[in-house]
Amino acid sequence: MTVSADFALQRGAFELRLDVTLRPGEVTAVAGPNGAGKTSLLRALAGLERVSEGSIRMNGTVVDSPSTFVRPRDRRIGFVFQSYVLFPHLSVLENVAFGPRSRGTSKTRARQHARAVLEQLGIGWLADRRPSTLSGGQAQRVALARALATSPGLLLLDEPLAALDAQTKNELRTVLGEQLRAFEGCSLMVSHDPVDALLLADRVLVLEDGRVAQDDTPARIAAFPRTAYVAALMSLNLVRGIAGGGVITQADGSVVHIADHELTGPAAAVIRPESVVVHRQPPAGSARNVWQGVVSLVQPWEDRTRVHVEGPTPMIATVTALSRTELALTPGMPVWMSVKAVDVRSYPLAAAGPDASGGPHSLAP
Amino acid sequence: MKPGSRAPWFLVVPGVLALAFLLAPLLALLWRAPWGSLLEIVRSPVALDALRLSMITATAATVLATLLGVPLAWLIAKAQLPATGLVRALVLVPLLIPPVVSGVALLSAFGRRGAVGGFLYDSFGIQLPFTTAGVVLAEAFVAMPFLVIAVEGGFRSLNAEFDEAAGTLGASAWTSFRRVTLPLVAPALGAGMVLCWARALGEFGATITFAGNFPGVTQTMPLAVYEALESDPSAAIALSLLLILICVVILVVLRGHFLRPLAST
Repeated sequence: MTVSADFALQRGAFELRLDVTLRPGEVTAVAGPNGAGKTSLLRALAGLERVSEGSIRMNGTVVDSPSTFVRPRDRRIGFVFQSYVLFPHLSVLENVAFGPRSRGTSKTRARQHARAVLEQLGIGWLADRRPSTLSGGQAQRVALARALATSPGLLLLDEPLAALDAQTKNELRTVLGEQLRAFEGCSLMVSHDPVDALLLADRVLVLEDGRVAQDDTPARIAAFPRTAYVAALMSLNLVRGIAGGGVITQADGSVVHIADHELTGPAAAVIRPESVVVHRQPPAGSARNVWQGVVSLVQPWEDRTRVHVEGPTPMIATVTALSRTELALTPGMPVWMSVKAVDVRSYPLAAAGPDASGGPHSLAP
Repeated sequence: MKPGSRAPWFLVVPGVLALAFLLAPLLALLWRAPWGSLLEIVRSPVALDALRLSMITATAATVLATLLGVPLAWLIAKAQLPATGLVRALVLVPLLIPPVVSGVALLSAFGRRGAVGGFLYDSFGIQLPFTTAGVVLAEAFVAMPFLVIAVEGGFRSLNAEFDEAAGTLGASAWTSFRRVTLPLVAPALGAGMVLCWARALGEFGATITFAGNFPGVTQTMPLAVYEALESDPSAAIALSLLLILICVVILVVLRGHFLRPLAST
């Protein structure tokens, strides 16, 4: 199924407005901060919310516009709810058979089909259990099986892994990845976790404030973030401004030195937290970029420590355990940060998207 | 009880008094019961007729109240009516007004010269007052609010996502209601039906006003008890014990089936 969503949706003061086409076999992750409209997009595609302008088309047929509306049950969709919403009074098998039965399949055939889908997900042995006796990971698989059992053309997943503990999440991510790759329709998955987006999706749609902030492959999202949110999502620092003469001038007039002297016009620069060096005294080295700031947060991160520094140019820096001890960093402490120009990866921010040639330190695999 | 958390006397004394007040009449009934002739009284034609009639009418009234009350409860809980608060208050009216007044009100609506009853009688020759159907109507009128309130609470606490999930799986509104919504409110519905049935079984005032007191036609158990009290008090006690026994048995039997709350997600 090909889904064309070119619509606006009004909800009080909030407006979601986008123009996106989903292609068969494509897995799209929807990322974005809370309240950006991710769930509204999912619910609009499912027919659980109406658009106020424009239209949603599935295989060319309008399913929602101000004048037309196709009910959820008449769209070929599968919806995996964040809280699973399994029917508590039905067995796992009956939950999965519910869709086929509602669409007119006989009781016996629907059960056979449900059993096959459960086997496919490796949870055939759960068939006779009640949802209240399932673990989070099991319930998630059952919810996925139930959505897949109707053979939807569009699979919608609302934070499918959010409610799971870390280990189950890793297991389920693998299961979900297999299922999504095998799935022939298009799938759209809301996720807060960049790892989900990078590992599971062919495409990442970043929503911010009801608009598409970036729509790219995971590799390009990681390499060329266009907004501070995307950069932070990928654990990168982002600076935006106007490039020219080897610097990017930010809106407040402060400059960031970059290695690329040819770059002009609207541009962005990303700085990896590892490239930011933190000092207690004004640094004496050769680094071109030196900023002052105040430590706002010190947190352990893998085998290192992440330091958030607030100031005119806020940065996240990664320091080793040793330098953390030497620097004795605590929140509220004034510090200097330095970054070499060669460690600043810059790229133009054209309206159509970042230039593919990118910067010298492309993170793209 | 933990030391230092002993119940204070000003709650214990009236509390125990209240319990005694509630139990004393029931114990007195047992005390005064004509145990020797109990079976004989209960098996008399008048008692059996009244018992049969009570069972039939209370059950019919519960069915009627369920068929009409469940949709009403859904409307109040889910349909976002313009004046939900007012509608809910109106549903409670039969619960609050004296049953005799309900009987008079029913007469003015469904009596042979009543607004609706007149039409029914003139057009179809249907007469409701002083018939068994009238008893059912009176009992349903008085007892339906219990059912509506219980079921409305059930609908209201139901997560709207269940309905949405059923819709995305292809279920029609009817399928979704029948296979998802209704089973999920079954505990509330069961409780509402038991309350409704018990209230219908005990109905007296509206029944005697609207349907009269004709043995075999409109004389239900409470009416038979009242009549027996004037001629044969020990028979009244025997019939009362029977009514209590029925209520206890029904509650115990249904508790296992309907009133057990469903395990939630």
